[in-house]
Amino acid sequence: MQVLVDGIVLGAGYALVAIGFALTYGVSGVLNAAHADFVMLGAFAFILFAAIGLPLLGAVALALIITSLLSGLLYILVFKRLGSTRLLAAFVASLGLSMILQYGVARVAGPDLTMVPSITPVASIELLGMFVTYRQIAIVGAFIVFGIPSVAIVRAQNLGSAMRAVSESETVAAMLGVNVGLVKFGTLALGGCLAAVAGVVLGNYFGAVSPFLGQTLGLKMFAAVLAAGLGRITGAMAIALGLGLFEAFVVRLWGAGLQSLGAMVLIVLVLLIRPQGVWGTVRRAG
Amino acid sequence: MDSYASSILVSAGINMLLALGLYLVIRSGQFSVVNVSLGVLAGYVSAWLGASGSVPALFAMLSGVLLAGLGGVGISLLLRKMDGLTFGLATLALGETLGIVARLGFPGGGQGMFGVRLLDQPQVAVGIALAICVIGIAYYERTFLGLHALAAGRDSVAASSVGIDVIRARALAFGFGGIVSGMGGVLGTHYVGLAQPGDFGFAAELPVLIAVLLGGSRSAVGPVAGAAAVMAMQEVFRFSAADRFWILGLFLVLIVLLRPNGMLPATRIGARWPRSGDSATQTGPAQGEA
Repeated sequence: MQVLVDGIVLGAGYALVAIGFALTYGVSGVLNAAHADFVMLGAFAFILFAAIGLPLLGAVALALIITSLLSGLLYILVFKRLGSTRLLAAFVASLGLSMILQYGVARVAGPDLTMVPSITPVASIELLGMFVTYRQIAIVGAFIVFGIPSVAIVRAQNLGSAMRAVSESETVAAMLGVNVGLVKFGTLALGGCLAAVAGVVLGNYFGAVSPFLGQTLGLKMFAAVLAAGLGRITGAMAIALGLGLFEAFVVRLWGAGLQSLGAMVLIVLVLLIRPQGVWGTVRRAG
Repeated sequence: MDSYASSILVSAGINMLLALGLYLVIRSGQFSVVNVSLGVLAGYVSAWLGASGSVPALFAMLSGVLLAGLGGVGISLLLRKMDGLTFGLATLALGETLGIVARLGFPGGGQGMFGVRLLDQPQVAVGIALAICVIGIAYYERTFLGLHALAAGRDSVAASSVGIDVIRARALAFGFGGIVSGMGGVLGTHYVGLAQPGDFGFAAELPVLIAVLLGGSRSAVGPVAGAAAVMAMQEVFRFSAADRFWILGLFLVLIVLLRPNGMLPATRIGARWPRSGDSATQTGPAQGEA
């Protein structure tokens, strides 16, 4: 049963990341390969603000705000200039951004692991016969407080319908008075915020973060999003949760060395059986 | 020739091979970021076969190259139903996956394989490989196969509507691209004497991708010139190893912003600034924002 707890915790963390990635793609069409690096950036921003003596909660809040703004800034500086038709160019640019973030942070903070200040007590409590640490509760809590509402926003009235309209047709949405640029900026900022939340709670859970955290995390995020079908936000969330559970079982059975196995198996299975993803629709090649 | 000039020439030649391999794949409309990883895989195979000592070195190297070619065909067929963007994402995921598999299960594990047999005359070997590839590519581009791949790259729907087997043309293009990348990877591995898991994934692809985007994929001259330019830039600025990748990343972003259609096949250099009467040669999505 303990493995179930570990799985749900991992899955909730992955889901936080995958939701932001799928959301950004779904609304703005930008396949932001640098998204997982914003998780790392959020964690490092938190470490920095905590190190300069801010109270922990203030450091978390500031890290979320800064990371969201930086993510939104990417839209203004890069993706907006590429327009809404050059999606491949935006993807390639995001690959470059990913390198800038990973190696830039490694240059400043050092390429090795950096300790993350603890925001929760190390202790655990007993829940339904299972031991759950406060660090694990923080991840699931962050998923419930930030992740699920983000999915709900897209399905909601006003704001959500503006997002869905932009996703459907930018030109028509703009004609009907939707501020397309603002919606896209907001979506990227929301994605950055979710990534930063994940960075803080995952960093708190693991105790230390590496500037290259985004590489392995990115692979899991790609796996979840490819498997769900691009732009399927709820689907990506569900698959990320499932992936976390699967990984926890793999780690329990064969050890931590094979933890990334799930993501790889998932990618290969999807490519072989259903390339458009579980909930994806077929689009023409090219 | 002094050893510094020699090492520059060999590295430039290897980068040109890797850029040509990527060029062949992008030319057919498949945006891949897994080509260098295929080359590294070829290097691993060659190093592993060569280490046993029971097979001739040339046979080991050719096996690696051939495997990279087959890998290219396999990836292309596996991803044949994906559109451009998903294709790119899937190849990115495959490259990173190879790195993880290499850490777990390849000879040498996380450390990689050391003491790989070094080339006796690297300049000669790279020169011969480059000559074979340039002549081969020049010939390929004039055959129906090469033209079909280019047609599939420019507009796959139009290509298939005039009877071109897009899937076949693309699979073969990725196969040839894999072979050329494989040559670059094998020579690189035997030149450095090292095959390591860290060479898989996107970071290693970065300078090669920049070379192709910089030089343009209109003809094989582009990637070769692009690789030379990237090489020259690295030598002139002499960034430290720690600075290398973020600077290259910044460079990639700037190139994409300046030439946003550069990753589409056969885009003319300077295509962002169309001249009058030039609209017919424009490829890819519309220039203006929707």
